Amino acid sequence: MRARLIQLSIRTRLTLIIFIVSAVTIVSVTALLVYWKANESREHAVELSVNITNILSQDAAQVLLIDSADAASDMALKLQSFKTITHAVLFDTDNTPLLAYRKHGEKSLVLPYMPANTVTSDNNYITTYVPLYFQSYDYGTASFRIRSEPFSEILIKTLGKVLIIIPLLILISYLLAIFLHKAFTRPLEHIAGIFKKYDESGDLVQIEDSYTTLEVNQLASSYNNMANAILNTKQELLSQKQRLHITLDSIADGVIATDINGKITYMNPSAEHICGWTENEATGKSLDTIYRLTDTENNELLISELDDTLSHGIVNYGLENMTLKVRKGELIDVQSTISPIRDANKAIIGAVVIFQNVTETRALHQQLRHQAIHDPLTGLLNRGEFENILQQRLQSLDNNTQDALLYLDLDQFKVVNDTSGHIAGDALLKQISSLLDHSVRESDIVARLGGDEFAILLPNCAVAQAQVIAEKIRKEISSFSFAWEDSHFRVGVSIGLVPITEPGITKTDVLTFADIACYAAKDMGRNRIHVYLTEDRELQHRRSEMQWITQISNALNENRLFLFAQKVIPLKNNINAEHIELLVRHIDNDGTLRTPGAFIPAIERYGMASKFDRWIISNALEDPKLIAYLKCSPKHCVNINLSGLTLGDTDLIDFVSSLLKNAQLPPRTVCFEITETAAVANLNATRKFIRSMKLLGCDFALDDFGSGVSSFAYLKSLPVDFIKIDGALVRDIDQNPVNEAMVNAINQIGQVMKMKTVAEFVESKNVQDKLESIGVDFAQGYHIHMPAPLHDVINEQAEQDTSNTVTH
Amino acid sequence: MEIWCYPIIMNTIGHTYRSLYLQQKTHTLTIGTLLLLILNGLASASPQRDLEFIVTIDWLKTQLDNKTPNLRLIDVRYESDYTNGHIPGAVNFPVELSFQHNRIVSIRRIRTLLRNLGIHNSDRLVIYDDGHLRDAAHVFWMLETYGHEDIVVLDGGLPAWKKADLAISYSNVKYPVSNYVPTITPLHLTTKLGTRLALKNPNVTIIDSRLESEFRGEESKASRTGHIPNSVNINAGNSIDKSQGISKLKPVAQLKKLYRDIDKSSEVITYCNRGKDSALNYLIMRSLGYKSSVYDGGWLEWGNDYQLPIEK
Repeated sequence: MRARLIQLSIRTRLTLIIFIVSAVTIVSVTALLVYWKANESREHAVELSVNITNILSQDAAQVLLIDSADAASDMALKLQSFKTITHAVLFDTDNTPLLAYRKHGEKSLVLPYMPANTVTSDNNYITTYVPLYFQSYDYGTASFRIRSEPFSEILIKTLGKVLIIIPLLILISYLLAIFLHKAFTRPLEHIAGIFKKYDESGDLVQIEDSYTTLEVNQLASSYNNMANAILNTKQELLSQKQRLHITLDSIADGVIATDINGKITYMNPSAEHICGWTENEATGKSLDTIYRLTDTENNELLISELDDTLSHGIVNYGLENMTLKVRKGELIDVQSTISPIRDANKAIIGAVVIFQNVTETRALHQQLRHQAIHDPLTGLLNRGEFENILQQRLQSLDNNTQDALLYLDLDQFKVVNDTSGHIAGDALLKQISSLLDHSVRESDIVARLGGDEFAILLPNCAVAQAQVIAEKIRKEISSFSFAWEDSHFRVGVSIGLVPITEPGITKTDVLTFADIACYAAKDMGRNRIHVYLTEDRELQHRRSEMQWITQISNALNENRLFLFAQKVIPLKNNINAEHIELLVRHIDNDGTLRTPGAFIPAIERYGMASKFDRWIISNALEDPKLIAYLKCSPKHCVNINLSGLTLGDTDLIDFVSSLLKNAQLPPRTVCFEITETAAVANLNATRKFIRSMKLLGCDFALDDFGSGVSSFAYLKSLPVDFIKIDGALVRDIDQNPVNEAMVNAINQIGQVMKMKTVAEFVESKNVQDKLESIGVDFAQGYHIHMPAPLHDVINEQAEQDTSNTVTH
Repeated sequence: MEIWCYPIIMNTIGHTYRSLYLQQKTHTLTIGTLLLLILNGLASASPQRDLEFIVTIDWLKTQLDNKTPNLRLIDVRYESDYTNGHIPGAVNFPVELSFQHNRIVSIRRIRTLLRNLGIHNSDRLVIYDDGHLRDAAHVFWMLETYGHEDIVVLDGGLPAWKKADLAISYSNVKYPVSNYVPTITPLHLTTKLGTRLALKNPNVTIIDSRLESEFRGEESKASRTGHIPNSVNINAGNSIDKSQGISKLKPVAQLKKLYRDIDKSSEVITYCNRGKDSALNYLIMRSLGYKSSVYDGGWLEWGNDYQLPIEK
């Protein structure tokens, strides 16, 4: 019902309202009128009766008082002229009816007595009772029965009139409504029409017309303003949308937007390019049709993330190992994020997926990872990774596990490097690596620790089996012939084998033991396997070496190292130089003086060489007495031994330089000694070092020349000033002609190369004589001078100088 | 069946049908009319009344035999005559009682009289006298004037009854007192004023019911002689036939002849001296269907009032 009411147009409603109002008015007025009229009839009747009574009072009196029939007749005649009076009765004072009147044509009726001024009525007649007075004398009552218009007749008559009016009323209402409509509602309808047009077609037209009423004009102009505002907003929105679109399109990452049901609403060009679908094709489809993600490792489809985002608003950051299957079926690695899209009320209205092609990146990562843990040259695991694996393995040890570690050090590798160059060395390493790889089991872990050192972890391998494997490897390597540019090399391998049986053993321990074992193997002649056993004498020796280190450290810290010196005297008269070689002596815990021979190797082994050497250099070059000694005569020189390992110390040169500066010592007063073997081991470094030192102004001596692997070729490349002939050669030249010949040869070459020669270990006069006859420049040894504390030597030398001066 | 029965019959039929078929008024009317016609046909067996208000002995006898309810006989002779024998059931109302000072009896008095006689407003009255009808006519007129409907006069009076050897009663009959209320209508009684007005009215005929000599002005019972202007002299006695030993009305045809000059459509006012003759004229003219009334004052009033015009 209410809906239908709303459907009615204004005009209809107006008509209806006007009509209804008018009708209601009329009906109520009619009702009122009818009521009044009915009432009036009554009142009229009463009035009439009263009037008649007045008129007929004389007659009535004559009738009632005089009993005159004539009067009665006259009264009747007069009553006849009142058409509405049908009956009348005159009551006597005793309330009995005396005389009745009946209009001609009426049927006979008895009017009952009622007290005066009573009015009764039935449908058609009103009966009144009027008191009769004659000169204030009440002589009776007159009753009149007056035909009144029955109510129904009045009603019908009135209604009749009304019914005539009603169509007229409708017409007037309609016309009025039309007028009103024209004046007021049509403009509204017009405007409503404009709005409707907007609803249907979306066009916002301006209202040009002006209307009759102020309010409607206001409405029209407001509408125009609103329309303009809307159009502007639309325009703005459009341009914003465009901007947004351009922005999204420009994003290099793929962007896919979905609605609340997971159906795609937008794809940017990057997404199109990556997935292989165009936006038009994809719109409306569900996300997993286009964006098919699988886990890289187990190939499971991942779809739950989108549901999580859409239903709970969870932001899913891209996991690693996501692969996207593009339209053509190709697989690419992606990293993606799915976030919810929320509206102004924070309700979720969709989701957006942003993803990048990370295939290259991932590949790069893989590569880096690989590089991080592998040795670039050989492809084996590197030290770091090997140590990690070892660590993990050790942590998971239990009482039943038996693992083994092999520590391999190639023998004579340097020969290849130095002879044929690094490329050859590298090639050799590669081939060895490949060999190793093939010699071990699947579960064994091969690593290159650096240089020519390798390690192999043999999990679940008992010592015996490990030895077998190690021996196999050793055999293979030693029988391996490396060919390079017309040269053939053979290398050997020293292997240290450490059984890993006790849980709780640390990585450092294992590696240390392995190192010890390997070194032992090297020490015992190379190309062999040495198993680390705790009771091993050799290892005890190693261990004692380790103990030495502690001692030396302590000694260094506690200043229980002392500088001794040994004179190096010239054998020829024309040499005007006097050298003293600095030696280190160590007072151990129980006060015994110890020589460095025991601990030098340990020092070198355990990386303390440089520290050690620095200590010596600084102690020497900061010693005021020594400084004074060196300054006092240009003949005075001090020789300081350097470990081969110290050569690698790049700061040493600056260190020495600053000490010399501080001491204001002429550099030529310092001569550094380095053993031939040490020099050979680091030929390039040695060369560099020597050059740097010589730039500084110091001299250089090659110690223990001729001892081990000797080659005169080295001399050519090492710009030393002194050659110190190995003591082993010198010691028995008076009896050993071979050694004599050797010494002779060395001396001669030295002379030719403008290098001074120094003979060590001169322990007898005969030797000295021999040396003189050969023509060696300097000599050093117990026969010549026993090492003594430095200050003593200096004092002694000073005295001798004084005496010499006196003598000469 | 007498004519005056018809309205009653129709009414009764109408009522019956109205109560049975409330909505079908036309129906009722149609059927009523039909029945009326039928009944009229049926009723044709019974002797038709030529004169509306005159009844015959036979008719009365039938009524009495049938014990028609509400039928009252009024004997208007002298009380002594009444006592010497009257129609059974009749009450005595001497005619002089209907006079008061030569005029119609007063309202109060007639009311008392009728009440005491136990006559009701609804009673059917049959008036008889000694046959001369002048007395009966006057009572008839008086009762009509006082609004009683349903009055008839017995033609021939008691002599006719006696002649018919019908039952005679000698006992005084007493009826219970009634609530009779006289009704005044101006129809049957004309006053001096009315008569005076009637002089100018061409539709009214005034009938002088006195002797011709009185009419002519040769004699008069009032101060003046003559007659009311434009009145017609018709002596009521001319209507009575005494030939058969008893007085009876002349046959209708003759009566009609007697009054043929009077226009049927005009109203008639009769007058005489006291009122008996004029009453008789009135009765006959009424019975013939004229609208008639009696000028109650008569010549006694008119003749004595010098303000009123007269003719000779």
